[in-house]
Amino acid sequence: MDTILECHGLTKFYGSGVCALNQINLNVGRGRIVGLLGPNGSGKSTFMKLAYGLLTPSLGDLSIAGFPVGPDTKEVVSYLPERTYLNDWMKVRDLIAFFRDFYTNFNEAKAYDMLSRLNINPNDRLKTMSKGTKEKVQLILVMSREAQLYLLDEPIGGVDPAARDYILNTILGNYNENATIIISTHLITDIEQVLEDVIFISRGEIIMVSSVDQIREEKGMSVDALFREVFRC
Amino acid sequence: MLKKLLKYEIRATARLFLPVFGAILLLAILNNIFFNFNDIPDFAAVLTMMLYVILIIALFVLVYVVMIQRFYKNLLRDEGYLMFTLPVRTWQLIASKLIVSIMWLAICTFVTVLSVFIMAFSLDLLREIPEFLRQLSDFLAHYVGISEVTLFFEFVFLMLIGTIGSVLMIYAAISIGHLVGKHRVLTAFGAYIGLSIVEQIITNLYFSLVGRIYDHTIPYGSYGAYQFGYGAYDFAREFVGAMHMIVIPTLIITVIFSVVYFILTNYILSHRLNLE
Repeated sequence: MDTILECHGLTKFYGSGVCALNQINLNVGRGRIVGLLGPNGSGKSTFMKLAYGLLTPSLGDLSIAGFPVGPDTKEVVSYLPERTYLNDWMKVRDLIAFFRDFYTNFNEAKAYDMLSRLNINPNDRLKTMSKGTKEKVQLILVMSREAQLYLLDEPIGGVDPAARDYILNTILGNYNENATIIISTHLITDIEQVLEDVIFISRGEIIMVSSVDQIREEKGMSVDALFREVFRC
Repeated sequence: MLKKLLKYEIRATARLFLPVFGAILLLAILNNIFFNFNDIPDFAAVLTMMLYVILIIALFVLVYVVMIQRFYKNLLRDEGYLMFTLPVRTWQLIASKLIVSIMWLAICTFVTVLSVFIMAFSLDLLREIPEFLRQLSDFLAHYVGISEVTLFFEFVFLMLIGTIGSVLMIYAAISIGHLVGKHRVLTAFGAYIGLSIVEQIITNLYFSLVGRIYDHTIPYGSYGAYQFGYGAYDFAREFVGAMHMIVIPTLIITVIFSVVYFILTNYILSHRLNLE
């Protein structure tokens, strides 16, 4: 299997001594759609932020496409954080120009196409948009990059169910077959249909890595049902 | 990439400064009209003058507020998620913020000077200009040589580096605040005070060392061949010589501090980044 993301002994402590990730070893192959699933506070966002270099690992190492995380990997990874990271005074049109200027792999036509399908006016400012619309804009910007690895942290949390389907189809329909998508979420039913692999994470440790087919065949249940069983409170 | 960062940094800050520049220049013109056409200042004249002074003060407060906000909010808060996901080097992010801050400081100074000229402008003043230029060139020809010109540029350079150093000290303090998990802003304030004290102590030690070196190398009462006939001219020469001896070591240590702050900020943001 050709690997896109690889980590060994990846550990992250936060200042107050909290261990957010503990000795994570993981290999993710190219061309997969992977669900990073776990309850709140299990370390999903921490993992995403480490993979993009927004956090510094306490121990262990992490490489993407063979390079340690750093300026070299930023060109090949497209990251959607769980928060609004765009300033609110720019118009959508300006943001697209911003992405086009900085990322050589940004596909402007694709971005405008997705905007029009979701009825978002490129001349609107983010200030005037609802939370869900802002999330859509961010997702469009991130998915319009022709990257090798997409890290989507809670991509559909604030979006209405009708748009969710469209967005999931967009994710599936608009990316290169060799690229890998890692989606972190706890909205499993909505996303289960598109997933190929799942990683279950709990309290900073990986408790299961499996393909969705394997779960269905061996355990005879859906990912959602398995998740509820594994993480029963 | 630095060019693109600069472009967006200027765009993000210009929208804050340009309206203030416009208001200041407009008030300067109004003040000029009141000066020239009113013999006795009335209420409106006093009011526009007050507004003008308040705006000038506000402008320089704004420069520093924007400088800190653009570094802290744009890099270390939510917007940092975007800035640090760009395929640029960390030093380019810091440099873009620094260059644009210095640029606005220079432009603010220029606008302030310009506004004073606008207020003072009158036809009488215009008539005085040729005479002033003649006297100035006279002065330059008689009293200003290579040494004075060098000194002038040394001063300009010192001011520039000094400003860069003071901005970088703020950046370094904010970055040190970023090293702790909680109370980052408070830590940054503490770090700023701490850095100021350390800088003061090192500067004092440095200058006592420089003084000793001078004591041993330069004979007392002579900085060159000016012992013949001791007039005002020679005194000025000696004064310029002494100024060189102060300005050059000051320049050296200011450059060193700036470089240290830049390296420290770059190290923290590259290797100790932990966005909330």
